[in-house]
Order: sequence, then C-alpha cells, then structure tokens
Amino acid sequence: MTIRVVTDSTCDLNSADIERLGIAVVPLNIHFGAEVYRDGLDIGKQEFYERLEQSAVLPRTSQPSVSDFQATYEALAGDTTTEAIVSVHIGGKLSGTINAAQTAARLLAERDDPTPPVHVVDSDQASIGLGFTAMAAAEAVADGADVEAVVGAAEGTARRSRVLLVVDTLEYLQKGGRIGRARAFLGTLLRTKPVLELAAGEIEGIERPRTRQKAIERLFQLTLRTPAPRRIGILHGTTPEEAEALAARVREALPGVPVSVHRCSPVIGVHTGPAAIGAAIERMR
Amino acid sequence: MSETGERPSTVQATERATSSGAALDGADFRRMLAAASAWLDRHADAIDAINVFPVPDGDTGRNMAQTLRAAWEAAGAEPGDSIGDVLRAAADGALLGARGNSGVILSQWMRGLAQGVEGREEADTGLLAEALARASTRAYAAIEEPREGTILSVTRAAATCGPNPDAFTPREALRGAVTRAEEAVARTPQQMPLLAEAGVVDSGAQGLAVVLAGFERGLRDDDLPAPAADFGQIRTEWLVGASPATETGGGFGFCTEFVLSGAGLDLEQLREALDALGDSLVVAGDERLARIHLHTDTPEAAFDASRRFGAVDQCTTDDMDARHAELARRADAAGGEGATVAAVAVASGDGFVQLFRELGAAIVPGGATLNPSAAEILAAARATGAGTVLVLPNDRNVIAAARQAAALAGAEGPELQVVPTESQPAAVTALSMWDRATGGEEAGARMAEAAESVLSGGVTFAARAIERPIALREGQPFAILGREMLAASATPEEALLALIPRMLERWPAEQRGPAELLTLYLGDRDAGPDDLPGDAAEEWLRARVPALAAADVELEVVIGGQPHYPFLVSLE
Repeated sequence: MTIRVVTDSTCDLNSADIERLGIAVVPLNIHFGAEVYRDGLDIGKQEFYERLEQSAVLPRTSQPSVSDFQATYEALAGDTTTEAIVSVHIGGKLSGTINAAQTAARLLAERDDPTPPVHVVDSDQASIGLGFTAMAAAEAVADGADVEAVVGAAEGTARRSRVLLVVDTLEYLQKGGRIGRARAFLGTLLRTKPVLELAAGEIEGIERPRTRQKAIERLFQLTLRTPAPRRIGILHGTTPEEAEALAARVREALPGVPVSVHRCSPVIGVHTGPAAIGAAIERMR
Repeated sequence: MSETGERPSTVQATERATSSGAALDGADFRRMLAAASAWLDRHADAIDAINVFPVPDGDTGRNMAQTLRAAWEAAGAEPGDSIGDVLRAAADGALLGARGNSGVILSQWMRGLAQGVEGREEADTGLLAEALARASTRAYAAIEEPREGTILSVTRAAATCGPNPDAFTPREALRGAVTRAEEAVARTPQQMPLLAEAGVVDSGAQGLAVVLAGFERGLRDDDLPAPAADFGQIRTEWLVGASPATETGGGFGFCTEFVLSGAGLDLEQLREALDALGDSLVVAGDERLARIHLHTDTPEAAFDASRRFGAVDQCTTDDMDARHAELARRADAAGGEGATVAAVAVASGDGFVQLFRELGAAIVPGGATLNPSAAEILAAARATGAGTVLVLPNDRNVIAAARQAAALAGAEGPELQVVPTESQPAAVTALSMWDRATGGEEAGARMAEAAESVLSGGVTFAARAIERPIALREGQPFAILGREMLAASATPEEALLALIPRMLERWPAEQRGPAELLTLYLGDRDAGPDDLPGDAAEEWLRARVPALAAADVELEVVIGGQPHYPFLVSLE
C-alpha cells in the first residue's frame, strides 16, 4: 500500500524530479484567445514564451476542472495499492485550483464503492514554493511516513518556504489580477523592476529598484539572508543564462545547500511576464 | 460665593450654561471655536505631513485650519449670543473660507451642526447629539462618492456617541465624541490600503478629530489662550497609523458594540455590570434604548450580562487582538519592537512630492532656493512617529541642516539617519531601494549607496553673468553634470541635448556595468510649441539623441514640477 502525491502544473518542478518522485501533475489551462492549451502537455515552455512575447493578446489562465481532478484521483484510486492521496496545490488566494481539487475529492468520497481518502492541502504557495511542498510530501512517502505525516511534511514545507520574484514589469501581474497587496507599488514610476515576495499566499512588494541589475543583486542578497536554507530553487522565464549565473553565485555563497534552476511554467509566466527571475527558499525551520 | 444669591436670575442662567452646566450657548460655542481653531493651527503641519489621500495634492491641515479660522472670525463678528445665531455665523464663515476638499467637508459639517441648533438659544446634550448626527449626514451628502476611512467616518463616529441627555453634560458628551473620533481615525489604515501602505492615518480624519478635541478643550475651565498661542507640545503618536509602538500590549480582546432595548433600562447598573468585563465602556441612550460600546475579551459574557436588562440587538465584534497581532507582525518585519523606520524627503515640485510620497517618504517642503531649517526637518521627522527616520536633504545646501537636525534630536529622538542626497532624482533612486523590513542603519547605508550610483545632471538658468568656467549671460540656459557646468545654450532643450550624450560618455561602465535607465524629470514651466513636448518627450528625445539607442538605455519621462530646472536627468 502506498500514498500518492498529486500537485498541479504551477509547481515548476523539472520533469526528472516529477518522474523520480512519482508525483501526478494536474495541468492548468492557458488560453490564447479561443485556443486552449493544457499547461505542460499541449504547449511546451519554449513555444509558450515565444508566443507570449509575440502575442498581441495577453493569454489567460484557468484552473483545472473538477473532472480533470476526478480523472486523476480515479485513476490513482483504481490502483489497489493506493492507500491515500495527498493533493497539494497553488494557494487559494492566487487560483481557484484548490476549490476544484476539494470538490473532486468530495465527489470521490461520496461514491458508493470504497475509495482511498484524498487530503487536499492549500500550500499558500506557487511555483517552486509549491514544488518544494510536493517534493516534501513525496519524500515523506518514500521514507514510509503515514498519511498524517505526509500531510504534515507538505504543510511544514509550505510554511517554511518563500518565493522571491523580480519582474521586468508589473504589467502582467496587474493584467492577470494577481497583484494583491503589491498594488500600491504601482506608482508614477513605470520603469521599475520590483522585488516581490509571495507571502501568506499573497504577492507583496519588498522594494522597487529601478534597474534590473540592482533588482537581481537584491534578490541575491535576500536569498542569502534567508536563515537556515534547506534547498533553493532559482526560477526564470526567458533568461536561462542569468538564472544559471545567479544559481552559481548562490552555490558559491552557500556551499552544501542544493540549488536547482527551474523554468517557470507557462501559467506562472503569464502572470509574471517573460523576463521574470526569482528564487524559492525552503528553510529548515 | 456669598454674592451668588444676590445675582439676577438671568445671570445665573448664563452661568449654568457654561462648561460645567447642562447646556451650551453662543458664548460657549465661541470659546469652543477659538480653542478648536488654535488647536488645529497647532496640528496643521503635522496633519499636512500625513497628507497621502486621495491624491497627494494639498495641505489638509492648513486648509482645515484656515477654514476653521474663518468660522471663528465670523462667529466673533456675530452680535447675537444664542447658539443658533453664533453657529449659523460660524458655518457661513466656514463655507466662505473653505479651502481644499477637507476644508469643504469641514464647512459642510459645520453647516449641519448649525442646522441642528437653528433658532435655539442654547443646546443641551441631546440637541448637541442631534446636531452632530445632522452634521455627519451633511458631510456625507457633500461628497459624490463617500468613502469610509476618511474624515466622513470620523463625523459618523462622533455622532454615534448618542449621549443620554440626563447622564452627561455637553462637555462629557463631547469627550465621548472625541474618543470615538480618535478610534475612527485609528481605523482608517484598515479601511484604506493606501494609508496602511504609507503607514499613516487619514489626514482629514485626523483633522476633524483635532477639531472635536479643540471644542472639548474650549469647555475646560482653564484660561484659554487665543488662537495660535501655545497649547504645549502636540501629540504626534497618531501620525503613524500602522505603528504598534504606541499601542499598549495585550488585553484588547474584542471591540464589541450592540443595542439594548427594553422598558426602564437601568443604565447605571448596566454600566457597573459591563465595566467589570472590559474597558473603554460607553453606554449611551435612555431607559428605552441604549447603545453600548465595550472592549472585552468575552463579548458573549457582555451580551449575556446585558440580556438581564433588556433585548440585545445589532451585535458587532471586531477582533482587536487579531488586528494587534497583525500590527505586531508588521513591526517585527520592520526591525523589532518599536523600531519603526520612516523617511523624510525635502521636496520641491508637485511631481517630486508625489513621487516621494509614493515611495513612502514624508515631505519637508523646500529645495534649492527654499532651504528648510533644521527645526523644520526635525519636526517632520518627529511627526512620523518612527524610532528611526531616514532624512533625504536632496540639495547640497540642505545636508548640513539635516545633520544639525540629527544632532538636535538628542535623547528625545528619533534617531535621524541622513542619507546625503544632493539631488531629488538621486533621492528617487535611493528611496526605490528602501526595503521596509531592514533596520534604519542598513536601510540608510543601502540608500546612500544607491544614491551614489546615480549620475545626476540638469538644465537651469544662470543666476548672473559669469566668465568662467564657461561664459554665461544672466538668465542663459546651461547644463550642469554633477557639480560641473557644461554647456551654455540658446535654449534649455539645446542644453539638454548636449547634456545627455555627455552623461552616457561619463557613465563608469567598467565599475558598474552598462547604464540601464535614463530618467528625465520635467520642470515647472510653460513649454512653447518648439520646446520639448511633455506628452511625447520620449519620442522627441530618442529622435534627437541617437546615443540612447546605441547604448540600449531605457528612457523614462516624469513630471517633476521642480522650479528653476526645466530638466533634471539621472542615469543609472
């Protein structure tokens, strides 16, 4: 008997990690006008960012449907070795994904035949912050933890993780309606490279450097300053060299802390804009 | 006194109608106006310093003070002594003298007060309460889209104090209104995210609370100085709405409000019963209907206790501990207990004032030709209510005064960290690197570093004719880069076009990497048809400065509104 971990495509984990840890990923959707793509399945990252930069219309995103979750849960439930499902998702303040997951979980529980319980966890995170949460759950499963401990591992990691983000422009976050408490950051100055933090499920402004160089320097400092880092993920949209250079600096400054580089999934990219760069840090405590 | 009995009865009536009595007459209201006008004058600058809403465009404190002064002067010129006559005159004066949005609302509020006592010789507590309610209605009606978290909320809070005419003197009722008003002021950052972001309360709201407090002072027995005389040190704790440093620790519980109805309510016993359950108790009403306000940890117990007296209705509880925890969390983020950090920038030009406020700084008006005094800088720093204040002088001639202010602050505080910015554009860059979660010293150091990384220049006019280092006629436009005088030109535009390529050449790319952003701040002048167009400045410049494209530099054009300099330029 085993516990299955489900997450969604905003987790930004690399496919190697997803396969190694046996995590099921439910895709969100990307809409370019009338065309709908399932994140990561129907549209790759490269293709997406090319279209994002060229497209006159800003793409929209939508959460997975209840039936998307039902299909995933039922497929896992159909495996007789599945003891329970732990489903960890992008924060409910950023996306309705968690609601669809909860509804699907309820519908599964209401079925007449016995089904494994589904534990839905709102991570209050996105991107690698969610990715770390899903990884922690899967790692706990691999360690033989029971379902409560797996949920506990996910919740603990979600709570101990922060996502810092430098966006090239607030335009995408604003148009996507995800600006949250950083709204007041929108002032007269248009050319800013704001440093934002996803905190308690909402986006908050930290600082608004006027040049990208200063912003990335600040991102680096804030990353190093986060106490007791367990692991760090550098995320980017269209600037792999910049992300690798930042990762190399972080590795040098924090030897022994695993630092990975991730390309933001299109759903995240729609909201941050193509040239975003960020860091997710999971603290040990 | 032995003479009292010999006085005519009319004089006795007048005596009774003073601060200790049961009703207010016109003379009392004159005293109230005088005191409120003086009190508001004392607070005007401090109120101006928090003027962030709805657009940073005026001086709320000054505007309200001048409006109230007009009311006071008109009341003094009124020959009648009935409260109806005096208040009508005062309201007329306020309406004529109203300045700014807040002044207009204040004048409408006074008009409502006057209508509430129209035709009356004197006002008892009940009539005063009605007038306050009427004033609030009138203030709301004056605004097309009334919003909470503003002066309007304070008018309503003051009016909801609905005193029991039998239980309170007018002065006691006013004291209750002041308390409610101050509570409403403290709530404004929760109602207006913009205020919370700036870390202040609403200025107009605070202004009205000061007016009410002034009215109450006017009814005290002390000798009252004339307006503008010294009332002693003003309180400034309230200036920073989100500052938990001034909150007392723990035990707030819930701000609980409800209505109690019944027959023959014994309000005195009710007070006793509720007093044991919390603090800040207000019981207002009569034996049939009372409104209760209480801060308690156990709202349910308060409701239960009250049900012994009558029917409890319209219960609201506001979890103040949760609010307090949130405030404490923010304080921690700002560097620990009571260690709030604020910034003060010396500014000239509407655009810069707005920019600095958006970036979270309070303003000291002044600049190149209007250097603020050390006392003014210190006063602004103190008005922020923060433990540490970053001061951005923004002119070489102001840095010394800022340092002097830091020394003058002394043990009383706050601690002033002078970020020696020499120009307003450098201060914009410095403030853009302000992370509120860092302590004052680190924030100051980082801002200073950011300011130094900026290359600043500008175009201005020669104050007099000179020969060296460049030849200039009086009034001739020329460019200046750092402290170096560059190009004497026929027009400011010509000087600007000479300046920008020089700045790009001068940029120390080896040390700092390529320049990324050039910001042009347009000054306060009427541009002619051949001048740089404010609405299309970017295209205009890009077409004329090919070096901009060659250097791959972003361009931002901002209305700075600064005097004397048609253009200020920064490169970073």
